[in-house]
Amino acid sequence: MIKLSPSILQAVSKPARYTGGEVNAVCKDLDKIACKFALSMPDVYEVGMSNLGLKILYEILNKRNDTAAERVYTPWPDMEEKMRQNNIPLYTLESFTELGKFDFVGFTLQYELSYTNILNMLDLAGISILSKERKNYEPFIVGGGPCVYNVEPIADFFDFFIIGEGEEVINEVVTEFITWDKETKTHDRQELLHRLAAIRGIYVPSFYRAEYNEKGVFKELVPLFPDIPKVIKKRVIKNMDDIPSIEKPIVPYINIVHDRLMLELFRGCSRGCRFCQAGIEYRPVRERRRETLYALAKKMIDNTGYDEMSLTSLSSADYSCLPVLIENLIDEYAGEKMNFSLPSLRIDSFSIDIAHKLQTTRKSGLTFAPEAGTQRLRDVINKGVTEADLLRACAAAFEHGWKTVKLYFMMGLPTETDEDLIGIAELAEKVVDLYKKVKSRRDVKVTVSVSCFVPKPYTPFQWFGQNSKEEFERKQRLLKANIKNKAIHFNYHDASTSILEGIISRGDRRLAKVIYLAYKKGAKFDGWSEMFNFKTWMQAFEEIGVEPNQYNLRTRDVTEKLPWDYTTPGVRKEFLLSEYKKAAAEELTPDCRRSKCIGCGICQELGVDIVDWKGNNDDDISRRDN
Amino acid sequence: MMIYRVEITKNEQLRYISHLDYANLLQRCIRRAKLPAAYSEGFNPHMKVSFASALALGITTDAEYADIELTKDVCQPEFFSRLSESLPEGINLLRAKKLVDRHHKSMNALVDMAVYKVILPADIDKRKFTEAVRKFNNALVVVFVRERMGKKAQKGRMVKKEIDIKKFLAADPQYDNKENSLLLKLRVSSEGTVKPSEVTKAICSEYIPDFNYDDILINRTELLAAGKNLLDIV
Ligand code: SF4
Repeated sequence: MIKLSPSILQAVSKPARYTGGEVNAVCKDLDKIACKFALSMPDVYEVGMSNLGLKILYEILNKRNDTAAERVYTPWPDMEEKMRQNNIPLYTLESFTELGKFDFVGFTLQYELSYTNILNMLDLAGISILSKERKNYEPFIVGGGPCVYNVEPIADFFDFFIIGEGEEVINEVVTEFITWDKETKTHDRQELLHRLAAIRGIYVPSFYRAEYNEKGVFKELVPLFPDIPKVIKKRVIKNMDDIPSIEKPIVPYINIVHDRLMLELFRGCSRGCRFCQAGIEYRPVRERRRETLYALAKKMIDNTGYDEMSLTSLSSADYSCLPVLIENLIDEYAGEKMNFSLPSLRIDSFSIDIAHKLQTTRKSGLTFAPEAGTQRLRDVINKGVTEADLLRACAAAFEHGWKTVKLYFMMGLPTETDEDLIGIAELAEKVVDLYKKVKSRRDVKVTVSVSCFVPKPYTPFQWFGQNSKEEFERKQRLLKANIKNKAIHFNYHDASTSILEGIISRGDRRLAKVIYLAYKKGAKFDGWSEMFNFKTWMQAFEEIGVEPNQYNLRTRDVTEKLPWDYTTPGVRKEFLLSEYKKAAAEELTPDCRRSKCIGCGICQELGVDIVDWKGNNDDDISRRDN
Repeated sequence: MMIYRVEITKNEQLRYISHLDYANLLQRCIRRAKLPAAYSEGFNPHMKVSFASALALGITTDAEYADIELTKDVCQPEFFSRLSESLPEGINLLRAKKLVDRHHKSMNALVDMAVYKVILPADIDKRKFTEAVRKFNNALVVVFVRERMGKKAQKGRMVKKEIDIKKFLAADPQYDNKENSLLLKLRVSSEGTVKPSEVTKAICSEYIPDFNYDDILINRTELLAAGKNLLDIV
């Protein structure tokens, strides 16, 4: 057990990040446990503690009597320094056990710029960073989460990955481990990996060899054994009401990023925005029953004492029973001053009415995401929203008393012209004018946030070449010059983080060496702009001799094999390709949720259906035969 | 409407929690206990709980006080057991008392003394420290330079201010050689107060320059109003 002295804790910022003991944390006697599973998000406590997926897995694993799940996050550099000085290995927050003593260390992969933190954490724990060097007594390092649809750049560091939704497969992995652990005398890790590879959704990267053609372009991934799958398809939960979810979330002592309860209404979104990776990854849409949600909400509120709950989903306003659910919740908890909020709003007056009813967003202002400045470009990305929709929604918001709106856009989308960019400024201008018309006042604030587009695997834009750093910077200047109204605030980020994200997210196995070297050169917390150093990364690329532009700037030939073709959410490549072509032709594709199947192939490939509770009160589950 | 005054602790597990986080924690416990807490009116209602003082991060206490307003009457045994059960390991409920006087003064205005016990590092030179305390106590005036990060116009800059630290002492600091602890009785008034760590620094700075202030452990043992415990005055 690790003991921390006051001279360490008093010398670091936010010591409560490292002392555990929170309400609802689960502490078990590890000597009586068959499987010890450390769960991590490679970021600082306040970020890691906010992750929904980890909360779910924590409860599922801790429900088992034979298993203990404990948490570990990345120490902030001040704490890291103290730990290294005092030879304190990385430890978990429940039992203060060093990470090296666990059977599994699981990392959720939320964004590419957290990868160096993983290496740093393994190093701080004294665990071999490369999977091929790991000894039999070391933990199995496992990854999961949204980035698993291209894990090739970090394949060398992980023993295996879980592709898709983890609720069921995590139990299968643990059960297999416990059996192996009892049966085996040698504790040969290869043997367990072989057994795990037989489980659906498990990808063991060391069982495959990557090949490249003479031009240095990825050619294929070759299985090294006859009994392992050529392609690994994601795991998916068929019925969201059947699986255990969060009932007793940990209540942190300090403020975390999402310091509220999260009630997951449904999984998936089929609106079909062509830039959106989550839209494909989490298909099909599967709603929870209203009764299930109601019961979960009650348990969470009773078990934590939180006064705020977010009704979470990719597009919460699409939940078919939302008005009734909200009404019930508000009625039930009015006396207890519960706040309910929606993380995102659709651009329509229905959403504004709901937001008005909830009132929690009042302080912060409303956020809409038109994503592009002109109708033409919004059609390219299949964002089914018109200027009239946006203005109607804003008018409704202004009438309800809101004075602040945030508008989210992207720059660098396929086919984008300078006109489209200037369209962003014009649209914001129209929103300002609208306020004057509605309220006859001028005290409006419109924030325009523009991010740099990163093409992602398994989207219709996966072949598209990203804009260069210089091009992004030119566009930022151009837009800035076109925003003249004082009521409009323009926010944008350093383009270099998006460039690195663009390189890694469509990278291949050769990037492992670069990531390792960048880490050695001190890269960490790359997702934190104050810590990010682009030069370090560019030096790492140069020293390793890998040309970064081939990954992000190059528009790929659609016949090319892609490094990520082997871990798939189940979508048909022809569907993505047809969407890519329709984008170029500015053609729209409808939502499949309540109309007919548009053929992405996921339901058929994975044997799963859309679950949608249209009609607020009838309890007939609407499942459609595809 | 009714108010309970509670005497609670902040134990080792919560040492590194700020006062605001500690207050939030107590409020969540009250919610978990399903006590009929009263809330303020308005857009952003907050629970009507007021504390006697704001304890700094890094300090534990056996004597924290809060007034909790309820909308309905709850009898004392029920209040006590419901709240106790919902508290985590880091807080104990020692006593709870119904306030009879509806127009009671806020505790903030009443408190005039805080008593702290400072546990010193084990490797300290006890002889030297005894001597330092003696010299400190003999001095008529001890000027201490308080440094803090500036706010508002001075944001980002270190702001220095000289204070006569002895003005804030209710009694001479006492060093317990056996326990290796320092007993501090500090005045609390509208003119402000000093931190126990500041007094420790003022004692050591001249005689023990290499003293590691990060290594001391501070506990507040009492919080008093005219010599009386805050629960005994109601
Ligand atoms: S297979 Fe059809 S119904 Fe299922 S998610 Fe894809 S488009 Fe929608």
